[in-house]
Amino acid sequence: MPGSVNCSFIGQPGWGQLPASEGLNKYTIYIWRGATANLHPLYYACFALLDPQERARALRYHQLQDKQRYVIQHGILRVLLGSYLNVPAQDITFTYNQNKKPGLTVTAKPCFFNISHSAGEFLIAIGDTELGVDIERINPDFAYADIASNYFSADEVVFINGSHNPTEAFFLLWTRKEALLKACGTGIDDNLPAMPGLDGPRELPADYPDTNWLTESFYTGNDFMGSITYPSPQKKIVFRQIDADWIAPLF
Amino acid sequence: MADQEHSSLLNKGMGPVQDYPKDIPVYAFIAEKAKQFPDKIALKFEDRQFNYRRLDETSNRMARALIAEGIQTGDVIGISMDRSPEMIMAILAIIKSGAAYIPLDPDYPTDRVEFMLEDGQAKILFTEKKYQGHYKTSSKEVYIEDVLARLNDFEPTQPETGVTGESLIYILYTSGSTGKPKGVQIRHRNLLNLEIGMAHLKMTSDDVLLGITTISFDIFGVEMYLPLMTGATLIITDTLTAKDGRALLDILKAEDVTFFQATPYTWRMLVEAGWKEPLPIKGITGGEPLTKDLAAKLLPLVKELWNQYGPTETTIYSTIKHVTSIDDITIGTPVLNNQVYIVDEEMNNLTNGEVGEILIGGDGVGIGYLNRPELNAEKFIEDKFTGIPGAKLYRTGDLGKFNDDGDIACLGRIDHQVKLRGYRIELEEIEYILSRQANVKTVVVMPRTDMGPDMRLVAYLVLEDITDDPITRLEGWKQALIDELPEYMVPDDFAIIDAIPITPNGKVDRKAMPNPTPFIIRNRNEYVAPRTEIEKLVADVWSEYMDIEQIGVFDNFFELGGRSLLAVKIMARLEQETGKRLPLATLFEYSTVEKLAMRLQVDSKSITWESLVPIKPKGDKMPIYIVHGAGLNVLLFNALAMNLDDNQPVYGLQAKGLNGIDKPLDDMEEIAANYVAEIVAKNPDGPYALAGYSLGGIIAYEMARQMKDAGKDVRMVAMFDTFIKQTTKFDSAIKIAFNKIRFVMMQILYSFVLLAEDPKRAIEYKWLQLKRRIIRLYWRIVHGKEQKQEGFFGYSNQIDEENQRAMDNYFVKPVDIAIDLFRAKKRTFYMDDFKTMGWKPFAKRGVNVHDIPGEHNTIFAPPNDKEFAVVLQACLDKAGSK
Repeated sequence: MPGSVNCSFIGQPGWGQLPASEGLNKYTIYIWRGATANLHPLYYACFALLDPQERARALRYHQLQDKQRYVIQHGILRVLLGSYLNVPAQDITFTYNQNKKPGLTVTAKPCFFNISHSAGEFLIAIGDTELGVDIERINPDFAYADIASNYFSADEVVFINGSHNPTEAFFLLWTRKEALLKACGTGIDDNLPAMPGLDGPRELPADYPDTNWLTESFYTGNDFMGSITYPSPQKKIVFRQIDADWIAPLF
Repeated sequence: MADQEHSSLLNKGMGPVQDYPKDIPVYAFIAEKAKQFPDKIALKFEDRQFNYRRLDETSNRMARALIAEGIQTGDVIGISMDRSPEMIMAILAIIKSGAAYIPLDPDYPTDRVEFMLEDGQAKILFTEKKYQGHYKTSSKEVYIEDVLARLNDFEPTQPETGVTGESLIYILYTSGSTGKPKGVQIRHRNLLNLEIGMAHLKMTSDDVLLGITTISFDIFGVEMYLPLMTGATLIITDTLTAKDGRALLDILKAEDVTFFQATPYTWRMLVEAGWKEPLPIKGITGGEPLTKDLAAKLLPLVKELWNQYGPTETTIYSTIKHVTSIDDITIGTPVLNNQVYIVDEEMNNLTNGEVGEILIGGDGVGIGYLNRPELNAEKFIEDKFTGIPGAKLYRTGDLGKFNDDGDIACLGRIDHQVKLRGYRIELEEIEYILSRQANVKTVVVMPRTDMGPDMRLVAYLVLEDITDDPITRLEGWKQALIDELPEYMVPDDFAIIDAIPITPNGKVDRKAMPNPTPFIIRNRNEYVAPRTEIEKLVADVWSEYMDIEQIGVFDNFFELGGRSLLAVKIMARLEQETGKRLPLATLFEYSTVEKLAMRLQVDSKSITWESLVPIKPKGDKMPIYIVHGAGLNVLLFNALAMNLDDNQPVYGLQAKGLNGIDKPLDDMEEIAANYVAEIVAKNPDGPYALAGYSLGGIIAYEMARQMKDAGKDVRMVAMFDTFIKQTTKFDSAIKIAFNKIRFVMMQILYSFVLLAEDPKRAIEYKWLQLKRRIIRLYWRIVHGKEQKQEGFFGYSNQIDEENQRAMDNYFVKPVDIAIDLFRAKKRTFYMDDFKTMGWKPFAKRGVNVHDIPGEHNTIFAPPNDKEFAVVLQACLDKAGSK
């Protein structure tokens, strides 16, 4: 039996500001949202947590904002994982699958994460099963047509063109496709058109494992679209906003 | 030469000469001050203080207690105590008892301390209760607590000891090159001469010195004896405080300290702790070179700055320099009754300013190393300059030269001499200039030889503000260096690190500097404009979508901030422009403009993949053709080729099929025939030298056979660590089974031998072998036989496998040739015949074995490539002239 995905849209979630101290609950996915611009005071502390590979990578970015986003996102990722797993943040070691999807080495309890960023905003998703997350700024000037015609299915193009806000519709589908590809651990590949993005249950191409995935899409603020993909059954999703003042004590 | 000039040249390196009471023990001078200033404060530690009377009386009583424990004049006592007034009094007591001491920092590794106690034959280990049984030693442990409790049992007067200036005062262990520390023996008169020689500093009984140095470091001797022999006050700190810049700064201010001695590292720590206001301190710096940038920072903060130089072997300090300007930092001139000579290899004194080894003679030269007669003969040589019978010169191993004014410049260690591309590099100069640049907190510049074939000059920088983007600073740093220095002194790499590693003695620990590779700031690759139409197209598309004006061909998509959505957009656009549809993931793998452009234009016409690769085609010597090994990459031979003579042509032969279009060959004869055809097409008449690495050696052997058959002039057939074993394919089943089992058994046994010899190497090799097997297996499972291979390197695994199969199908026939076998000295795997690696039965004219450094995987890697090249060139020249 082929795998499947069931997509749905949950609108604008409430981004709470609760600390991570409650630990990693079963059947729960935590999505943390941060804006690099608000987290600059943590840069130094974040950099200190990175391993040599991460530092080297950070220093290779040509643009300062790319480097800052990378350092802050990865530093906070380490802090959050450290807090959930109860290990020092700098001791966390990452592994990478053949498509460079990062994961954790053996941990005391099941722990999976995925990260994404766009235009200074970033998401960190953490849960006890495999998952993929994507965020995109709904850029009204983005010329989506050539991508849609080349890499989306005919149904999807029809859906975009018939939508009252085609740009937003494009990013809804895009983030769903990318979140699904990331959950599968493959990343962007030529299966992009075959990755279902429309609402409702749909089958995956035959050469995919027979996992039944759920994708939930949501607004992140007014200008960003996000999607999360994880294996069925449905889980509780806790949405949280990262704030420098209260995350600092976790460092 | 005019007489006057003559005499001034002769005077270079001659310290002041003055008689001193060389027969009086050091402690007698302290006792004299105790008589003179009985109520003055001699010692302070936190809120405790001791006047001179108490210092003298207590140490006398303690000395008598040690004598009661069996100590006689000439005995040795190890002292291991936490820093405290008692530690100072205990040291004084030891010398007052007639013994000499071995200073042992409790923080030092126990086995090291145990070695010192053993080597120094310490009768007693004078320590604290808390370190009871801490060391495994035959020395008798005496605890300071017990001695203090029984003080009143002993007279407060100096016991009779018969100690003279010639008596041993301490044995100080320094690290030796063999791994075992060596004990430097110093006499009373050596130390006395130094303390009297410190008269430059004009210390008086009103002065206060803050002492922070561990007893295991020789400069401690200045901190303890100089104030106590002057009637001044010595404040000592515990170990923690000694490492805390802010705490030290507080003490310097609060205690009205007037003298402070430290290594440059500690001085720097004080500056970094926020030292802004000048203090009335005479500063002594020693132990490692004083850099210009540090001097620039210190000069406005201290009253006087003295730079001192000297090895432990010649009693702490041998030269002294009053530093008044950053443009004149030297190690100065010799201290009292010391002489410095700068000599060449013929022991000529180079007073003309030429660079040579620094030799030290005079009253600072100690007795030499304990129990190391050979080392003594090497390092302590007869003083032929003064001609005084029995006088010795110590060879420092440091390079120096005399300046015109007679000052001595120390240029670093002979064995660490930094010469880059033929130029002498002054690391300090570079460090000084960098240290003045924006956002640079500390900097260490050093050459590294572990980053590729060439030595690279690396600047390690610790930043003031880590949030500041170093990439934006890089150009400014380089510009500042270029403005002031020759181009060859500008570091190749700039690495950002958190902190500079420091030795226990507070010196920069150059050996512990991390490999900088992960920390190097990569400049936005120097802009190289697109060179072809297709590169221009790629760069333009990136530029448009990424909103970056100038994109060079080596710029990396992800380092420019690229993301998947953009990648897809770019690929879609490129498809529109070129009509070529590439896999979406292409950009992830080919992520620079250059690579992506190449990927776009790859078709069977544009790139040819011939087997013959000219690695170094120029020259008139007999060319050598080297066949790839299992790794398939002839680039491996680059380093070797570069080390061969300039006029030695070198070609590589790589596997057919690397372009992903030609089918790889699986028949040994066919592979060899193909290679031969390509060689003969370019060089029809020969002569030829053939060689092969690893599996390639067998291909080369088959090529030689075919070329010989065709009447070609093959002068040399070389095996680069190639092991041959007749294929078992044609044997009986029983023989195969027997041989297989035997071979595997021996392989396993040999693994144990290797494990014992060099476990890391053996395991690494085994792992590599295993990995290759796994990759092959994976490839076979995933792709099956029919799967089409795509892409540049798609065929690598298949080629490896085909070659292996070719090998299995190849029946080796003996050929009428001699084989030159270049055998790696270190063996990594078991083979049936170590001596000729199996070649003996096949080479009818014999096997010439040449041992080359390294092991199978590293014979081409520096530094092995150099020796290999020398041996190979000699063989080639011999064969070529036949």
